[in-house]
Amino acid sequence: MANAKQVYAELRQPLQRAGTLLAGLLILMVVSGLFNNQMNKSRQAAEQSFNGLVQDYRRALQSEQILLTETSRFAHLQAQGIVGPEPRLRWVQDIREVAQRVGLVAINYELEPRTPATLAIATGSYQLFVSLMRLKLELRHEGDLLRFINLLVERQGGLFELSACALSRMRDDEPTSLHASNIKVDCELRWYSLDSADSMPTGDAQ
Amino acid sequence: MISIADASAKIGYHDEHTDFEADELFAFLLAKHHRHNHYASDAQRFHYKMARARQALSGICVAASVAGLLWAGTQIVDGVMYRQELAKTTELLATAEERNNAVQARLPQTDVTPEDMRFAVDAARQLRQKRQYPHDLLRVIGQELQQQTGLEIQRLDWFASNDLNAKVTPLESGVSEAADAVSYDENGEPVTAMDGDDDSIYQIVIIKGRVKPFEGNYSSAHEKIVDLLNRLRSSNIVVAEALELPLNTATSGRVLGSIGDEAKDQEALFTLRVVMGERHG
Repeated sequence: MANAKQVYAELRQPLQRAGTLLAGLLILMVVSGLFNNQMNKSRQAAEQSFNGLVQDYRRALQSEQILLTETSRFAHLQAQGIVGPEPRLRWVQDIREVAQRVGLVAINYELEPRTPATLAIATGSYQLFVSLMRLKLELRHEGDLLRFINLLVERQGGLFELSACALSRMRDDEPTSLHASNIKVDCELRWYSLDSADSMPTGDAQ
Repeated sequence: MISIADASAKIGYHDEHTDFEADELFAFLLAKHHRHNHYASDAQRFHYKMARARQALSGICVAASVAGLLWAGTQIVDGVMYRQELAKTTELLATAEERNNAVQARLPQTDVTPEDMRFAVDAARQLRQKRQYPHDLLRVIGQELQQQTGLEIQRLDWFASNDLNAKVTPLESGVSEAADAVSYDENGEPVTAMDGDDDSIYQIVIIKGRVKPFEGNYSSAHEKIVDLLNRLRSSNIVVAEALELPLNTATSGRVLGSIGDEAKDQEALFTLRVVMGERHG
């Protein structure tokens, strides 16, 4: 015990001095560390804000560019009925008028309800829909079918794809008649449209 | 004066075989009172230890001070550099904000986002590009059929397919390729579920017809069909093959027929498959 007291008496002053020094040093280190940390955080936050702003700016520039180049095209798609509700009335009207113009002997059409299409095409927030149309045509000549397709494409009443066509002779052993049907055609058309995903088929009249 | 023997007795030295010489007595006395070691005791070394402890403490303080000051110095220098960068970034931020506000202000308000506009336009473009029409293929077949008389077409099935080997038209199968399952990648983008990475679209025609007139000469009938197929192959046709010939001459098949007057009533039917598309390999 006496020894401890002696030791304390001998080392008290140096220990106090060392303690004071180390405490001061510790305070200096803490303060400098905090300063560094604070500045680093502020810098990172500012850089993050800057990067976010730069991204916004780039997006805005891209949007501006898209609007410049695509607005008219998009409006055209809307006018054609490719974007928005299906213009079924126009499709049917186009089919009738084109058939009349080509001079088809008979035409029969059947348009099924539209369903979501599962094609590998990116459509953003739009949903790609497809409506299957079955056509039964009676032609005098196979060239009439090609004219019919050409005219239907030219009318741009919508975006359709011809997926299959079957042509068969109506008169097996009889000679070809210029005034009657000679060829029977079954075709399958797919009308495509882009609309909001929640616009599933409805019974709305158009 | 005392004798060495008395002195020996007095100091307790006993040895029967000695002559009691003074050297032995001195050696005995020295051996009797020897010290355990020659070093200073703990008590004697106390102040020395304290001095060493103070030195060690001073050394530790100096080392800690140097290390601490160095560390604090780097922190301060880094902090100052960060502050300078912060000032620059803040300045840039203000400029960028100004430019961004200007661009945002001149952007027109639309019901549809520009991204969706682009998606819609791209989707319509892709759909248009993927459309197939039978004009070219029918024209080629028509031209070649004109060259090859004696073949009458009864039915012609045209369809577009991703499968080069497709033999069944969607009209017959009732399965539309548009309804094919589509998987999506990790980014939510659709991935076409096709064999390999070939996204080619082929136009396929299945031609059903008969050899007319036919008077029972299968060899001639086959020649006409093979000739037509060869002509088609020389055009931009990927595949021109016979699915069925008037007479099935395959060793795995059964051959039926008759020779005589009944042969005139027989029909020489055939089925051909013609594919138009991009040639690979």
